[in-house]
Amino acid sequence: MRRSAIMPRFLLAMLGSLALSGCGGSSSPSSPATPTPTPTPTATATPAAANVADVILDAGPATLSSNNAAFNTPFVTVTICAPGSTTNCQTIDHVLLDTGSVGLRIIGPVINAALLAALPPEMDNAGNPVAECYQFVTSYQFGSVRQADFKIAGETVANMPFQTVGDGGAFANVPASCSSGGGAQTATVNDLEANAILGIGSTGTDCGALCQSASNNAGALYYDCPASGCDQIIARTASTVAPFQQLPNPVAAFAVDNNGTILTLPAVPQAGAAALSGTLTFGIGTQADNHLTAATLLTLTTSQSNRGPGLLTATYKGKIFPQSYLDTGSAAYYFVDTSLTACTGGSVGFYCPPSPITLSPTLTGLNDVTASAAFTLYNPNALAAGVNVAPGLGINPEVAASMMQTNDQSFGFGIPFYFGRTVFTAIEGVDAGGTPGPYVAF
Amino acid sequence: MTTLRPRTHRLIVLALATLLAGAPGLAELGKLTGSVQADQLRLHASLRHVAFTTHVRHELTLPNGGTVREFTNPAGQVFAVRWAGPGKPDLRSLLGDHFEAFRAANVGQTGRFERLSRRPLVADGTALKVAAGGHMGYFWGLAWLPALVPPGVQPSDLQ
Repeated sequence: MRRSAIMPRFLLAMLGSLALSGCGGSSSPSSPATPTPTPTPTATATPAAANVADVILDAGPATLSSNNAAFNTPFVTVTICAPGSTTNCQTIDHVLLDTGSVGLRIIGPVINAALLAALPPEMDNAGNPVAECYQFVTSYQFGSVRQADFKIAGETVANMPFQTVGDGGAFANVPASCSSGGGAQTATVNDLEANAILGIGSTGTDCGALCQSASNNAGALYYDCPASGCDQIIARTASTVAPFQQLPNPVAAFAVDNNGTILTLPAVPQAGAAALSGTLTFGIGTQADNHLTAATLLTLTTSQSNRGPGLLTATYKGKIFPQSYLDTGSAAYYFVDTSLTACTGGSVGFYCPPSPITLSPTLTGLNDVTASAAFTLYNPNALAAGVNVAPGLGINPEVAASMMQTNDQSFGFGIPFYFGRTVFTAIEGVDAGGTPGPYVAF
Repeated sequence: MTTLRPRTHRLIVLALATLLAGAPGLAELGKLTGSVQADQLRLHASLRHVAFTTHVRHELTLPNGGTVREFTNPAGQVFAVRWAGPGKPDLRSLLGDHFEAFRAANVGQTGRFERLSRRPLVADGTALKVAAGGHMGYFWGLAWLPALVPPGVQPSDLQ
């Protein structure tokens, strides 16, 4: 993911009261937010199919501080249990649904103590527990790797490795090799603006072949953690089946419906909405409800790519961006275009077009298929109070250092791209509806 | 990340530290280059030096596909480092004394700064400029010291 949320400061005060009326606690079953300002459609019924999960975008976990509401953030609800138990379980709401990362990462204090104590850490060859450092673009998360029985909708994974973020004990101290990449540590619900992240990107595990060698540092780093603390980086096997080592893509680890996902979200009007409801369907071409019906299929780079996995090529105003991507964990479009009007003051970093502008990037897959990804760019200052979901927002990722030109290869299509679309994401190395992943289709 | 083994880190750090301490010289450049070549063999990495009219690029390509490119000015001072690869490099080492300033610029407001617009990590001071970015499993960035940049050289020249 490229996040956390992008809430401009000027919106925070407006949303303060809204956050207070948010969802139930992190340990209770999801009860979708019912914000007061704007009546919006909400889920009217739990989908009957075992392979369909509800998705909601709202102000985020009830425990968030009032000035820190989530924005343009898709959430799902998951359940974890002690391995083999049907009673020592916890349902966790407001889990950030992220196609821009892989693996389940739960903020440690969200897990109740009795359950946490029953979730065994993964052990390494030295007989010590294992921890992980996972790098996001602007932050990192550190914590133990534990195993739990995982469930979302009707799909399950037994003994699935996940990361307990901000764990204590031998995992309390972040190794220097984890923090030396820069950025902020994300360790709390307030840091993340979510109770957990469910990473369902296009790869089967969160590190792949790179982490199978201890010397090949990558976006994920696994550590040996004796009682004295975590220091030594260790090799971990990439596997989507037990006995796991790296964190798997939870979808890839399902027994069925494990080749990809289908995210369907309604369109959002320019004025935005307090909340938005959609669905996440598991599997592509595995059930009656998940046929590959998309008009356009674009194949993605794999883990073997020297540019990284999951990438498309965007073309915008005649310029090529070969490291572009779709990412539900990004709250806006991220691209550099200095010809657009930049926002100032509380919304600095965003683009502030005086009037809505249609921008017409295209996306091209490795299969040379090209699709329009045109959108209308809106001014964030036009958004009303109580808005937690808004379309067409753009951010210049280099606003504070626009001369640096380090982002001239990348056009990020965040969650607004998904509004009004059904987007298929197929996982690397498996057939999905007759076409091998990885691909996106819409 | 642009996987630098500890020794490589240390060597680059030494070079940068010397630079940052304001006592660089051709001897340091020679030492750096020779040491990087030694590491190249040990790491099975490839190393190229490319001379431009204004500066020299020293490019180390690592087994994981990542690269670290150091740029030296005519005085032999490392004035910029660019990185790209499947992980973040050890910026604490690469930036030396500037790392804490860089870190503070990005986390000093309890994370709100970066969450505000999710722009990649930056430092935009007069002594040090850093811009970084990336996506899942791939990260890039450029750090440079404006005072040491050869006249006429722009960040876009440092590819």
